[in-house]
Amino acid sequence: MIGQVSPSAEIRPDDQTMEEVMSQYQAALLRYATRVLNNADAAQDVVQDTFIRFHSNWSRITQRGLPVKGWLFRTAHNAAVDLIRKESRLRFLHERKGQEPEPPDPFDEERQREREERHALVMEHLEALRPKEREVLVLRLQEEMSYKEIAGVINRSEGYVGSLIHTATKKLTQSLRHAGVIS
Amino acid sequence: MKKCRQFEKQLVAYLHGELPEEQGRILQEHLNGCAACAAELEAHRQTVELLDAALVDAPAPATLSPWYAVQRRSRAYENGTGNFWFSPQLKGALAAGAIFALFIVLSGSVVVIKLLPQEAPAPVVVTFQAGDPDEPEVAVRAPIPVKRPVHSELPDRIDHDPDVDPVLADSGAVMPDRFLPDLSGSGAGLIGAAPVGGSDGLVRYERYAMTGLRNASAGHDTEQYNRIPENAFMMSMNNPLSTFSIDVDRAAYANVRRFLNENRMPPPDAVRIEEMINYFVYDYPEPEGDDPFSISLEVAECPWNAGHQLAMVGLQGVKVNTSDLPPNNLVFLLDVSGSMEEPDKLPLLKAGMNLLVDQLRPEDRVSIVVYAGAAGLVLEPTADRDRIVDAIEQLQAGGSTAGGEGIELAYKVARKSFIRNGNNRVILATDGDFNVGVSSDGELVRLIEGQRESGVYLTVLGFGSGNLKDSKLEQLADCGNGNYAYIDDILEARKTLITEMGGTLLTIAEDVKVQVEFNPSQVKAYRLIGYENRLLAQEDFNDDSKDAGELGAGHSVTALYELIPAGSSEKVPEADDLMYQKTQLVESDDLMTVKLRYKLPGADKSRLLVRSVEMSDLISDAPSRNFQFASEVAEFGLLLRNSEYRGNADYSRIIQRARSARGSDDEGYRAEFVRLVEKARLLKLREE
Repeated sequence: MIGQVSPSAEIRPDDQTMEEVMSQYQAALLRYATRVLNNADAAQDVVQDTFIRFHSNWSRITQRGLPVKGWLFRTAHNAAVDLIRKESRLRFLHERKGQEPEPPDPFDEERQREREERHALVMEHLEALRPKEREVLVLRLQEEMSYKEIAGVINRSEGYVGSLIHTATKKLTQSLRHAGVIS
Repeated sequence: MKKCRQFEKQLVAYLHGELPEEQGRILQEHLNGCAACAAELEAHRQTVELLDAALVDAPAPATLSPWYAVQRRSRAYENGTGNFWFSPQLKGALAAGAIFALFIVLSGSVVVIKLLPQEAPAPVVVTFQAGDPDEPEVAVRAPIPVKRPVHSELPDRIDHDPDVDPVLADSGAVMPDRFLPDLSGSGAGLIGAAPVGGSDGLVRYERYAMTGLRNASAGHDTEQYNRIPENAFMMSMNNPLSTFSIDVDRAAYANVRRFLNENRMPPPDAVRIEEMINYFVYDYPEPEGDDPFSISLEVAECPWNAGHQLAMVGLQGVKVNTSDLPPNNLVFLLDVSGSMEEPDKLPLLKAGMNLLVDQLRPEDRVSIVVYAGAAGLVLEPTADRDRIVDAIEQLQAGGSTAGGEGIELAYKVARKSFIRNGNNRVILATDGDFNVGVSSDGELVRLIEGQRESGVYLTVLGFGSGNLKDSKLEQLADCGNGNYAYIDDILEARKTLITEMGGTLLTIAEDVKVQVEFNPSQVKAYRLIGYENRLLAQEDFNDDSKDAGELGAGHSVTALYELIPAGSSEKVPEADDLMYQKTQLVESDDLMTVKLRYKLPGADKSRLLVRSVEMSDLISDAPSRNFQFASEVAEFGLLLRNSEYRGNADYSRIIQRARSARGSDDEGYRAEFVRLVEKARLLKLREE
């Protein structure tokens, strides 16, 4: 059973190692989780839990020579999926808190403002996709992972990843076209 | 046009440089000559570029935490919450009574767990103090009432009877899925969690459940499985007759495979052993004479219980060449609700249907009915292959599900285009949600039972994960004179719709029932392995009005009995001796007699076949490959179910024996079985 291995018997990484691993991956994991979950607080929780699990699974990861980045993303993916599953029962995370667009600042440079607006619009369209669709797009574009690496993170086949990215991109193209953002 | 469809699917991969060189070159050539595809590629490129820029521009995520801050959380796990599912307190509480429902409320560092044993009049409340001493104590709070969410994709079909537990009814909180595997056995975790108001005024989640219980298998899904109460050993003196209906479904095996391939142990109730055994093709003799199937009987030692024997009953349906199949009148009833959109659902179904369309002959008719928000006929019965392909291509997911209406419409179409002496069949493809219209399971079952008389058969294809209503789909197929298959990938689609098309699509014997009589002077007790939801009353055997399973062309069906021989001193729970009659044993060397009843398709009266097995038929040294392989699949099933009858069942031995019984295994299914057993063994090791 899960609880039978006493935690003290495990070798744990020292604090300095943890600080190093965190400084290297925390920002990327947070970006990823925030986009997948559409919620910064939940993403924070997911990422913190990922590092805690990393800490307690350290000996297994090092003994088996598992790739750290892949392991972290996969663990964060699992945590996010669990959360989303629960969320679909108890809809909370999705309720965005007061996200009305801010009144335009007349002092802002016009071009900068347009760019931001367009990007915000794109992000809105991204958020309208299904979580797993957002996830693969973010892993691909933000984390620049190959289809193969993404397959490792979400534990599905490369073909599935390709198909999902295809569907997600197509949907996004359609909705952006509909919104007049692209021709 | 058709060519463009193929290329269209490659555009995004091409854009990302993920298309193999050769394919990329061919696509490039096509793009040079096809303005439409080139424009589509350009649009995708714009999308991807915009999204890339937007992601860079997007507000930076919350501030980074240093490790020492995260560690505080970590300590909370180790001191109490991390593994609290297996803490002594909880174990004690678990043992005290069956867990009916479990609530976790977490606020700050206090965990409140309410255990509601089934028979206890009042809920037992266990309170844990999770140990970060730096944090102030927080008073125990009651869960905040939460309205059940309305969600079109993952409907929370929770059949909760408020009369049973008034406490939960009052709280108004979301109730856990009652089909979840039980806590005590599988290590499955969270059953229900309620959000609580945090000091910051935000609604927050019970967070420990997320990490500590990631191995919770199907715990968070809304998949539904019916509980399988295992068959017990029966004394052949008191209960000499064992009666059941055949089952040719194999869905459970494909579903188990899906779980294992996702590195999860399947929930025990997803494991229907008979469906696992029947997934495989056995090398039984071809039928001879008038009967449409052959019967093979074999008895040998039981691999997982020394001193016990296994008796195997194998039926082999006559094989029919695809070209000799009667004309098909196939009505596809497709679920195109929003939840079907995922790649392993509608797109997989479309791919499978395209394979089938390639096999169609001029005399075959195909029509397509879809259901989502409303049911509709999208393709009138036709033999025109291009029209079928176009209709398939245009299918899109969206909306919620009105399954009942769709079923009615599909049967109506099938009856209208009915082919006499043909194969008239509704093929229902779904992930299992019927939440608009006829919604109660009972109503749906009655609706389908009502259609059975029309001579239209039903094939149910289950798709996808996370929300599979396995229990409902199997039931629909059973009561609609049909079969049920779970499609997890294109190979399985091919196996079901093409390779074994005859078995899936052509019925050669109806209402096939098996009755075995055991001889008490040779067999002390017997246990039927699997078929728990196929058992019949002994008097149903001779009652032709009682429905039973159908056998398809080329299908084989295998059933195994575990036997305790008459001389054994083993204790078997048994009924009291009869007061007013004495059983007179008839001198016989027979072990058992197997009786079969079946009807030819369309016939009202059944035919009877009788075979007996003698003691001397017992094979001691070299059971057949069929027997060996089937018994290892059963042994694997017993382990996955964590069955109380698993005896000395052992993963490593299953692997070893299944390997040696693999035979020619042209399609590689038996080799795959061996891999799955190995996978389960490793998962189990990891769990322990």
